[in-house]
Amino acid sequence: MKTNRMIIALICLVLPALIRTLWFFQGSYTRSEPVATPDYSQIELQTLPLSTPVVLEITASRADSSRPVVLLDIGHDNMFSVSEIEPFIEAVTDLKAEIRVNDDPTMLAQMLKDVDAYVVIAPTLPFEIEERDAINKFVARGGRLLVITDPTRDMSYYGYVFGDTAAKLQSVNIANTLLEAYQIAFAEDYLYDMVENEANFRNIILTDFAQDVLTKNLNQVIFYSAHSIRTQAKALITVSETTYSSLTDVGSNHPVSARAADEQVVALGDMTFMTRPYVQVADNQLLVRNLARWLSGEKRQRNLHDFPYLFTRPVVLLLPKDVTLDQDMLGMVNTAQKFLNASNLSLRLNDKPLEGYDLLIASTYQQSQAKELQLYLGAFALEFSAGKGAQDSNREAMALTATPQSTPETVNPALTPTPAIETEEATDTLRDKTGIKQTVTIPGMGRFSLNGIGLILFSPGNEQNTLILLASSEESLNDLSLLLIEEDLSDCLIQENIAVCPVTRESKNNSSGD
Amino acid sequence: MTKSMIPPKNFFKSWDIKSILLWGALPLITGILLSFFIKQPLIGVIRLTDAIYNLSARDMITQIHYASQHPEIKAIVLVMDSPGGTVADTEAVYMELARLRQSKPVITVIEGMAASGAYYLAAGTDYIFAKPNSTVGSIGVYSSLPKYPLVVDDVYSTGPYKLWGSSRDATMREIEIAKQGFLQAVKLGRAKALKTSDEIILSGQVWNGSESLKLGLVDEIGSLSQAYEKAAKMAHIAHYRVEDLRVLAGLPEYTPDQFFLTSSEGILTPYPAKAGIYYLYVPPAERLP
Repeated sequence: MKTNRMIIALICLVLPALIRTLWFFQGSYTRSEPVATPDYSQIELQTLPLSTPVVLEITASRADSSRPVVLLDIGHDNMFSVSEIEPFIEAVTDLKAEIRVNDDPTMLAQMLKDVDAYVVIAPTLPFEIEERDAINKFVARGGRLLVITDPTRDMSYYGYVFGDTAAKLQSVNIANTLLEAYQIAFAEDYLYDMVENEANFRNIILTDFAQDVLTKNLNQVIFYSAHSIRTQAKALITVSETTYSSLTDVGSNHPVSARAADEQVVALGDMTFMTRPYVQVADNQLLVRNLARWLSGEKRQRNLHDFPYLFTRPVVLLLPKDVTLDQDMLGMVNTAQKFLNASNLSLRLNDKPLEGYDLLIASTYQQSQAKELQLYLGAFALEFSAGKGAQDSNREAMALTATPQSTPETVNPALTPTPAIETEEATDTLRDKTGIKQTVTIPGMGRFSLNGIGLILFSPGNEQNTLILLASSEESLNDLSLLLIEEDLSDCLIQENIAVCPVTRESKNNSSGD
Repeated sequence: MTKSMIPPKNFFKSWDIKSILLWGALPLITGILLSFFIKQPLIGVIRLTDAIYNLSARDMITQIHYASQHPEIKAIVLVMDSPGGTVADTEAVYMELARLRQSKPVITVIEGMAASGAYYLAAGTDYIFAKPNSTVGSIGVYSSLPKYPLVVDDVYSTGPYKLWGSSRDATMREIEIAKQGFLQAVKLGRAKALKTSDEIILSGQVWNGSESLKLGLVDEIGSLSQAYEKAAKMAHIAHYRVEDLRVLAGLPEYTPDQFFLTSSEGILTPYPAKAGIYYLYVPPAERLP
């Protein structure tokens, strides 16, 4: 009996706890497997691709006049500092080329006349239409143009407080105004690769190179944020399939570098690769050297549009043998000397051309018929004659120009004269004693009266550039030479390498004589 | 029931008042009193409504410790509205949560946002609820590179990076390691629930709750009360109470510290005030009218 009572007591004691337990708990929480957390020790650090050693080329020293000149634009609020691209600058100067900078957009057209390559990096100030025209003409005259943009260099202003990225200036839009003539356009994007990259999705690994001097010996290049390029021109460097454009989040083998306009224009979508320390990664240094080698190549052949920068070597002034150095001619020589001094070139009077010298010839129309000058004039196929439209319209035109015995090596083959007309009564016909109006017919330009007209003829050559000044008298020749020192041919009609310029004094003299 | 266990027919006739009190009421009252030692189960709530940095992380860790030390707390619901924060503080909270989860289920409810480091924490819990338009994701790392090392005239240090912390390249690689760690945390936490690729996860994108449900970044669209029910179910409890662990742990009212940068105009920016490596979502801030 007592045992039973004890059992009941025990039940009464335990029951509330049991009920309460069952009220609250329907089981117990047990985890089937331990909680796993990331194992950081197993995450491997990606190593930096080693830089390919670059064997520095010893470039033979070049005479100042033969050093190619590379013009660097810093006049368009370019989003870089020259010190940043020091590896690139060093690579150019190692090749004995000269680096100049242009910080004044108004001087661009003038400066382009005396350089061989022009480099524009991340501009944020628009190029005026005149500047773009000057650049296009520069390329047309054989200049090399390198345009570089960089997604990290687009912003001249970032709304730090409000995260206002709409205010940023896209340098690609400005760069594209320079490249549109060459069918190249940077996209307003950046490229990224989530699969194969160099430590970060925006550091893309490039291994697809077209055959080109700019990609010579390249195996792997790393670009540290790059714009993609849309182009019909030659794609120099192309990204892999896993590299996407931020515009589309799709990969389609976008180019990041392109070359156009007879290979004279190159566009690059990244600048960072040429800055330290990134230049010392993979083959980046080689690419910088290749670019420098291209920019520092042969000097561009000048033409008359490059006036006043027509000479690249010391100059010999060649005067016809029968010329007397009177006051006017000495004035002309003096003017020419000043003109050349401005370009750090020396002038030497000589009776024949010299090797390693450019040539300046000053002559009257009459003296130009001298045999030694015909060697140079023949290339221009000028046709002097007594004009029909003057006092005597029945008088036949008298041909003057002689066929050169041989075309000098320095004469541009493109300007090889059309079959010239035999010399006949040259001396007499150039004299205006009869009152007959003298004329010159310039192929492609038409017939000009010689009265009050001076001619500037330019013949570029690999070994020698030749500039010829022709006017009807020593006085007008002197006046014509003044145009050189004024560095202004804006009053002249220029076509190819021939300029027809009004000569003031002669005009005045003649008009006063009339 | 065997015969021996059945009390005889006259068993209760022999009970008098005294016996009833002694053998029935007394043990019952004692049992009832003793049963109160069995505490009502609690669901502890930890709220993260700020960025994750030393102050907020320290508070969270205190609450996690409290939960792990108090057996009546059977489950924890983590209520989130945070853009993430520093890498180190996020990892500190994450590791404490991982320890707690060995013994108690942890459920996350994403209110406004669980981005970057906040999602790192959410991924390390047992179940995630989100609102249809909660902001979820921004999985990745954010950092400014240190300055290029230099020496200055009147400041001396004992190593090239003493003043700068590390090289720019090393920092770039460190954030890549942190990113890989983040990815691992998401993959371990979400396991088979994850329905998207590593590339998508690491894109750094934010999604709304509905979209993140499709991607497997959250488990369910639901409310806070649903989260309590889920926590109770996972902990196998009923008739529970919900308590704010901050109150239980005796922490003072939360006052945010200076984590975000205040501009010179006095405007709070979404950028951290100090340089460092962050699991942080920097939302596009609105312009002032």
